[in-house]
Amino acid sequence: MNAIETGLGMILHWHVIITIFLAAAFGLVVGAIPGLTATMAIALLVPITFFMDPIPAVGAMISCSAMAIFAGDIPSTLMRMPGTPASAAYTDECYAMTRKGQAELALGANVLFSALGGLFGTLILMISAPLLAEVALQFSSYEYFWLALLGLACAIFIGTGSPVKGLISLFIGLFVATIGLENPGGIPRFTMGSTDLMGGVDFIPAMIGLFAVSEVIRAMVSGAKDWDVKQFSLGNPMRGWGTLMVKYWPQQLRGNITGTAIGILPGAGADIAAWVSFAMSRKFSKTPEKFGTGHLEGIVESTSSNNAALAGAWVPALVFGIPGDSITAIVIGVLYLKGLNPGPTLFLNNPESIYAIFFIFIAANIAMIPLGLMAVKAGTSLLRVPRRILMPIILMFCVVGAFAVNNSVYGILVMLGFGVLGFLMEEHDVPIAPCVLGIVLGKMLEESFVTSMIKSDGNLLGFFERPIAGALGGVTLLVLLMPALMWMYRRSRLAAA
Amino acid sequence: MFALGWAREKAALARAAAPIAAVLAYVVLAPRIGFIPAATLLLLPLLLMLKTRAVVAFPVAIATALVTYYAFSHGLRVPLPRGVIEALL
Repeated sequence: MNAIETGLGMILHWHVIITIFLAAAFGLVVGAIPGLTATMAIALLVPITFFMDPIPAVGAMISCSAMAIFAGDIPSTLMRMPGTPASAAYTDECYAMTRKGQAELALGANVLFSALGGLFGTLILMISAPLLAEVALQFSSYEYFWLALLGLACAIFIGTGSPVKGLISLFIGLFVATIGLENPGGIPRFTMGSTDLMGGVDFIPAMIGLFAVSEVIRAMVSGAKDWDVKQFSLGNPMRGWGTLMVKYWPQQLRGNITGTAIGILPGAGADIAAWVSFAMSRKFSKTPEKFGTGHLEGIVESTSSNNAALAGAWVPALVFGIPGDSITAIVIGVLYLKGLNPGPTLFLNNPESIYAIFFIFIAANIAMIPLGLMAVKAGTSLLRVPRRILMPIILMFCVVGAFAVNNSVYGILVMLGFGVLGFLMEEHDVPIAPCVLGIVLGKMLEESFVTSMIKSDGNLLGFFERPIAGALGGVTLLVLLMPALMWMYRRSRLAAA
Repeated sequence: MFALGWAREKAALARAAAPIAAVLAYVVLAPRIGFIPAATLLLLPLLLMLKTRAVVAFPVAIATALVTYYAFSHGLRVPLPRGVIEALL
């Protein structure tokens, strides 16, 4: 039996299609409400996916995240408030178009290029993941050690903020990963006599806390005031799509490639992709002076980029179990729970599931065009949901969701602890993504290190003896030494001058 | 140095503490009085604190607790804590 046909058959069930459709609607609403992020949508979705089969569970997360990233553009354009952080880079530009009376043009471009960006990212995922998996089959603990370390290094340096704050965040994550009994020595660490902590920190409640509870606390602090929603009458957002695709194809392609690449890099996701692409668009533009006045060029490039990043992030997640962004970090947790352990063997033993994931990606991004146009039509009425009622309800869902993971109160307490942690981190501009990556990769890093040391009899040079391991090691050391090298280079330039 | 200007404002600090206190109260109360009353008690103070009118806040809190209880305990079979009220349903 052909794996591709089986994969297609797996998603062509009415319950799978309905699940994906409902998750898409959920993603559109959550994404369109400022203060609720795509990652939060995924974290809130997890407790419900527990009760689904693996394929609809994964499908729900794919379609929900794709729609949420697009829907973030709607309040950006209409109210100058990014619905998710991934829209923040070009919010001012979109709003400037609205003030020029071109809201439908901006929103139409957002729908079109988001969907096309998602499809491009999916194409790269479909081509590169199986090829990489083939290579990854040869990987031993040495390669996994370097990959984990490289991922952690990237997470710090490819943030928008300061590397020091990235490091703080990463160390918090690594510390959390050390808690419990599940380490190579089997020694209880930082359990403080609690039997619950022996099993380690529960990942899903921690994510619900970091991404959802923290937002509830923040909304409470700011008082969750209602927005001043103006009613717009929009023209036809599909007008001029053909011209746009012809006129802006270089921007679109560049955005797609940049976005996918940033998505693949561990720790950096759709929001960073949009910032980088917007900056790049201005830099390479023939008319940089038009940026900021409601110019489509930068919008096209960054909206192509953030949706491409979403699919790109799945490449390392599926092949190595290393998340490309915070969303795939949560997805990896769900994959393990569903018995679809990420890694190259998944491609060997379960190719039909991989094809099913690819098909869901394609379907979700095509469905984004009609669903996205409907959301644009609904427009500002999505924003009439009063936040002061929504936020307490979200908190209650968090409590129920964290409880449902193991049916224990321990989950709720973990969720609360991480909610406060996430809130305090964001208040001090400490990014959350490195922390999440530390939690996910901490165990892999430690296990692969200890296994490698046992294999090489304690010889550190063993980490460089295999060709791929050696190359990965070299790249990792280079990334780690980069700041020092840059500093020395600048000093020598100064001394010469 | 820190972006914690709001912390100096007592009302904002109280609002930040409210959701934390509400979850802790739920953890303590739910096994004793059951999910529906405990969830209602989690929602109500937060709703009122965000200046939702009482006429709206009460029905919203009770309805959300009821719907969630049904969806999770009957639909998804999560063993949410049961008390006197849940025994009647």
